[in-house]
Amino acid sequence: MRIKHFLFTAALALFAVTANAQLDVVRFSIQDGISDANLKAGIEKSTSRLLSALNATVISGKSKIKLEKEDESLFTKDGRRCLDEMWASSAMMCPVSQVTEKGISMQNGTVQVRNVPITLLAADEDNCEQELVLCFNEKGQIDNIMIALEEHRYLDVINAQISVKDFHRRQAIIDFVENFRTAYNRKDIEYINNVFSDNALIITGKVVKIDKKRQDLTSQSLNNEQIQYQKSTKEEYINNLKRCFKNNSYINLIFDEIEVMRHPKRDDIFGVTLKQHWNSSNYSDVGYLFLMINFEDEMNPSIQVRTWQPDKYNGKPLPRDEVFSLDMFSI
Amino acid sequence: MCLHFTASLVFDRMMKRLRYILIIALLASSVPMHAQIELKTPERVVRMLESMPVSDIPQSGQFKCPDLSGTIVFYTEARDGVTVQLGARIFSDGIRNAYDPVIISFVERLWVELLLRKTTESQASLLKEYGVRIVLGGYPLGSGSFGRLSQALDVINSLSSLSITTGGSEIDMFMRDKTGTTLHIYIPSSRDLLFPYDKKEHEEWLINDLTQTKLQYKQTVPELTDVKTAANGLLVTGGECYMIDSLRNDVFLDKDRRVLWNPMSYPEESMRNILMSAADARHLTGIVLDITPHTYNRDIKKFRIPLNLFMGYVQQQGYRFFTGDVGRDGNRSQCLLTMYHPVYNYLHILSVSFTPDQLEATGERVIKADLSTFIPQHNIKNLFQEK
Repeated sequence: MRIKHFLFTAALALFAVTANAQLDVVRFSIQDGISDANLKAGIEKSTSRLLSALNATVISGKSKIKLEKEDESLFTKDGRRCLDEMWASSAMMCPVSQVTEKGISMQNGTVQVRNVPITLLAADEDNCEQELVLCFNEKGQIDNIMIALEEHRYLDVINAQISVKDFHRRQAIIDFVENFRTAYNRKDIEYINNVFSDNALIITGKVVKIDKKRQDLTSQSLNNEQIQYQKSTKEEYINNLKRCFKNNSYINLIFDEIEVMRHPKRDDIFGVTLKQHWNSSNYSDVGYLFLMINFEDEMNPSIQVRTWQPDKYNGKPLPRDEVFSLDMFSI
Repeated sequence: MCLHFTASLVFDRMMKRLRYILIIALLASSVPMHAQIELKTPERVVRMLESMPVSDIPQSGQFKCPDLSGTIVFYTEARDGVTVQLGARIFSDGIRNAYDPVIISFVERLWVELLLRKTTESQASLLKEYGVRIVLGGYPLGSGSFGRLSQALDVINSLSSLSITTGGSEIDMFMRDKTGTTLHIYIPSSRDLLFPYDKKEHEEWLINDLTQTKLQYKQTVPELTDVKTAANGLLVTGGECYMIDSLRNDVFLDKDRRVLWNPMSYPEESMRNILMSAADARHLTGIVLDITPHTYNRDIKKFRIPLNLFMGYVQQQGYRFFTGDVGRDGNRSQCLLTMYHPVYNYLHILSVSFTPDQLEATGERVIKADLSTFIPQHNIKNLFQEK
């Protein structure tokens, strides 16, 4: 269970018990957009009850949404079914106690309310904070509930100008990167040794704590970490890797968010940036991996640059413009 | 053949590993095969077998492991004499027959790995590593009312409905029991996760399968409901593309709306009609692919396979086909066939290089080809990044 969720749930439960405060209660109000006072009041009531019921159910840990009997009439049949289906996908709660939003009147007399913050307990860390879209009928009953999903993270846009040859080459890069990943999981040091150029540049970032005595009071509380970079030779890197393979019975590298860029002047040089999840018997971490790959010999591509950076420091994600990419290296 | 193992001693473990090894001598076929591949039990399955606290594990068959779980039956499956699966039998035979066996086997293999972990926390940690979410009544394992993995099994044991949704970045296995309790298992659509094989192992099985296949090419005549005129003036049907505009599922037609076959005037289009399975089977007769495999295992050498058998094999694998022109060098053309698996999210790419004469002639003629396999597509954020 994610720590964030756990702490939030625990905090809610603790407050509910110790302070006798009903922290599960959420008040929803409409700022503007609806002139009909009865409809506005109905939507405010339905939404407040819904969000409060979600929080109360999460606090109780129950697997089905707990609605007061009189609250059932706040939903249409479709709206109730929709809520149950969403809950089956993930328990959810509203992380704030007061929500104010606009009502959007639709042409058919129905109303939409968007941007209602919600935390999905079953989603992964990157996707747990979402926003609900609630649809109401003309009586103010909840008729539909949706999650306003962000743009699909995969590239769906059709690239009209890319040639089949270029596509093939870039897929060959993905193939090479997958083989490279497979070699780590197989602890195939010979394969890794073969794909690194003898004079490869290898840079590894490490988060270090800054000596607090040397900082002023303001910066002490904010930024007490920085990334230090260490350069190593291929021989040093391979020797370290051999030790690592020996000390871990199990290694499972996962590559995600792969981006491929071709050098603007050299058709056979590519830069690959990706998110690496390192899982092993003794250690796990997440960081950004950058590889500069020379495809001059297509059957035997070689890695000329490898960098690794932690994905976070000072409690924040590494800024995108600090992640190594092809344009940071001159050839 | 049934092999038995004794655990606990290091020597025995080594022996266990060795016993899974089987060298497949490739059978003689109509064309010379140069690839000799050593097929082994996937490393992942070997690790699981070594972790099982039980001594007698059949190479293929059922066994019990009371220390791990008093009621669940475990099983192994073998392929070509090699153990390739270790699972917990949590689904009925009816479900196993009705749904994608790769997904069912994955969940049953995952269940063993979860059972091998003692605490809910370490089970949740494994799920996080794999990107899998098991959600009972809206809660992921280890939160809300979902405190123990066995609660999920209770739902599976009294199922009233099950559906598996595929085609997106995640597979959603949705179950409901007779009391209305819901269970979702969300699995990333990733070949690497769903199959027990890593890329090297999977490639070896694929090449082995290709060199032994007897499946014959079957022509699929396209429906002519949406015929358009392409830039070169030819009629085409299809119209979908993969990632780029010039990689398409088009089938080319002649002016009479029959599948085009005119290698001398339209060599690329004629070849692409073969690769889209639209050409008449007689046009493939005698064409042999001389394939250079681009695989992890550099020891896999070139091999030859009749185009008829290659297409017959890939037609049966659930791929979506897209073809494109790479270009011409003199009268030599190069075309690409991409075979995309929409559930397991990977690509095979076959690149063929040929002359019009080779398509037009009769008798045996050899066409050079390059084959890249199991290229993952699930983890690509941007293949064409520009600054």
